[in-house]
Amino acid sequence: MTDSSAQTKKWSLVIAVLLLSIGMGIAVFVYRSTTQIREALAEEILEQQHDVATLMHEYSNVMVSLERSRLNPTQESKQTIESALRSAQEQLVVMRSNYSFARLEGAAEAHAYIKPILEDIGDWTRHGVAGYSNTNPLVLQIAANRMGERYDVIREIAVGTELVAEELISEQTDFLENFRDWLLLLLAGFAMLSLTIAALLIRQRNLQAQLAIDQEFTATRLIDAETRGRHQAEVALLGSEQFLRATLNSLPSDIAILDQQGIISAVNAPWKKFASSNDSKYKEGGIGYHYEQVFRSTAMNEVERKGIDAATKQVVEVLSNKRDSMFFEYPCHRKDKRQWSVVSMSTFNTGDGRHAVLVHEDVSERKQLEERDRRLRAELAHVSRLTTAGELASGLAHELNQPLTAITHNCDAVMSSVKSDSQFDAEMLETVQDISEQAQRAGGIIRSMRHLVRKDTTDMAPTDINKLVKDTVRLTAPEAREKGVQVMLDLDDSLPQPLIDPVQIQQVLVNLERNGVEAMWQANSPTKELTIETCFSGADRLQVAIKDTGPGVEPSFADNLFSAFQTTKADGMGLGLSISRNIVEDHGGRLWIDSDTEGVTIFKFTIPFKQG
Amino acid sequence: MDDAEKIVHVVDDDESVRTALTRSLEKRGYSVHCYESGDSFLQSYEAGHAGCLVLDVRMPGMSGLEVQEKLVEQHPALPIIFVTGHGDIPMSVRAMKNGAFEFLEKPYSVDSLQTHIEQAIAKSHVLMQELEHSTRINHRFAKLTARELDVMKLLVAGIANNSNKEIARELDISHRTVDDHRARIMSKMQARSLAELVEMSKICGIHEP
Repeated sequence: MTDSSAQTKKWSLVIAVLLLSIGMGIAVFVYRSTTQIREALAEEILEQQHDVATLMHEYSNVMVSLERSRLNPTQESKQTIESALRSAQEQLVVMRSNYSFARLEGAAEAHAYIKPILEDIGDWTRHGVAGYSNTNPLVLQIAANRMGERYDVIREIAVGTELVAEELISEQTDFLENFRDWLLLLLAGFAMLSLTIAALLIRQRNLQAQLAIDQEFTATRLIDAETRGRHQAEVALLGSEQFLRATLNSLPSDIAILDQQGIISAVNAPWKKFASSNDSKYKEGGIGYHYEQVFRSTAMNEVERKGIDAATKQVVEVLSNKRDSMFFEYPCHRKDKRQWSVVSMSTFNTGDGRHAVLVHEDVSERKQLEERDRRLRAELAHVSRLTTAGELASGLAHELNQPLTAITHNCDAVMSSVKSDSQFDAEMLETVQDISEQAQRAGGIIRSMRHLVRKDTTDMAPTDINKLVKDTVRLTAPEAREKGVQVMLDLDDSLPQPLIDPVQIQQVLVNLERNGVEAMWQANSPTKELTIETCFSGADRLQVAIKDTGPGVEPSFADNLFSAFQTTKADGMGLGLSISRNIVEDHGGRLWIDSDTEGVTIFKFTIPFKQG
Repeated sequence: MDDAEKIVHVVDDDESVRTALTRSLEKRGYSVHCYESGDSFLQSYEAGHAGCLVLDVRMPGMSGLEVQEKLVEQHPALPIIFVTGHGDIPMSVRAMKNGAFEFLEKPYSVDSLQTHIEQAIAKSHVLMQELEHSTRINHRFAKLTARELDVMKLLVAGIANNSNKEIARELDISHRTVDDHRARIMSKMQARSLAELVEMSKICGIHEP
């Protein structure tokens, strides 16, 4: 690259010098030429001046001969005029052939003027010759006047010719000067051009040199940048490492990084704590040890060991590439506490093979919450079953007790009739009596069955109804979600706590909420919103309203809505509302339906704050 | 219907129960009036005779307890015997609190029902008489003029100082005029003594102890 630039440099210099010398040559040549031209022109001008002077002279001769002829118009004078005119004409012709300048046309014109004069003079001389003999002074006078006229014209022409000559000279001079200026200009142009070229060449040379320097500089910079970049990458790497470490340490879970063999290569702070709490030799989190060893050392009892066994099996599967990730939950209860752990794992590949992130998480709290919810739900379900059974018995009792009552009365009627007969059949009376007693017995059986399933002992306690509503909504949230129903609450926080059996009232809430949810789901209502509202109903009662945007209750069904075994559901027993009304009434309240508002079914119940 | 007639009103949605009840109670000498719902009973029932009501608790439409609420206001002299196939304890408590005469669980023995019916009818008689008495008193009371009413209020207000002079001063009239009013009041109310007038004033609701 440097060689070629030097060559270019050399060549450009040669060209510049060449151009400059050519320019100088031209300049010298032009200057010399102009001097020669100038000298030639000067000679020419002199010749012209001479020619013009000759012409003038010829015309002067013409005029002189004309004057002579006027004074003495003889044949001889006429010949003199003619010869003078001829020479003038010759001179003019010569000038016209020599110079193509326009002004000579004037001279030609003058010549054309002279020709008729010559004719006139010819006439005069002819007549004059004759006339002289007659010596007629008048004719002479006329001839003299006319000649005088012509003479003036000729003189003007002569002067005009002189002017033409002057103009000629000045034109020539102008041309010469213009030519010289033009040449000088050309020269200057050349000089400029060559200078420009030279400048350009120099510049190019400089540019090339600069380029070379730049290239060198860039190369240096590149090397610098590379060095710097490497440094930055190192810093970034360090940063991201620190970042990762900080992130890992801030996570509450126990995290370890394993290599393909299952050896722990890195751990976070919680893992360190977890590992070292079990065995002091793992105080660095068991880095360098096999995870299984560390893992197993944490087992406290048989249940936990089983869980760890199962988890370990899955970890091995992930490490041996049989699966990408794993998630395993196992109980690790302690004597004083119920605990659960989750082991999850995911893998990543680096240049040196497959690695895995192993995460241990204590999910006891969540599990305990789940257990509590499950227990609550189970309790509710149990109570619900009990109440359902009770309601079933109660409904059954009503249905059976009606015919039993009829039987009793019918038997009584028969007995009355029999007794009224004086000859009555004692055995028949006894039989009917038996029927009646058996009906009573059946009634008794039904009654005891009902008492058996009835939850007679109610656990009354001052209860926050709003909290009860919230708990209920939480318990039934999965079902509402599944059926696409949005549950909203509008609770009056200022309500006092009524004395109620919370489980029973919760059952009412569950029944009413579930009814609304199912109704909207079955009818596939466009909007599925369920609102539970609590408020005062007068000063001594609270009111709970459960609104839904379902299809509403069919009028034909509304009358029997709260009776047992009335249902619109395919798999319902028709006891929900019946149970609910019973519970509410047991609490001294009232449950009813309010569907005045358009498209909105509202179940409302009231409960007195104090029961007496 | 003479006074000896024992009227039993039966409200039950179950026809077979109504029929059987009618049969057996008629055999036992009662005049039985049946209704299929609380509504139809309230619409057609006319007071004026002693009797009792055998009322089913659980019925479609108006429940037995709701019928009771209306009845207590309109016809206080009709004792109610509740019968139910459910036998809910809280409900029976509520019914008894609201003045039910008895609460029986189906199936009851007809004898025990009859016992309660008898007692209820007897009570109905007493209630009827009381009702008639108070109606009569109220009728007389309505005939008093405004001034007489003022005097009577003061008369029954305090027996200790019910002298005519005090009343005259209170009402700013002469005690002779008070004498006249007093005589007319006793006559109109058909009261033989001041004590009897005070009793009557309690029925009329003007006595404030």
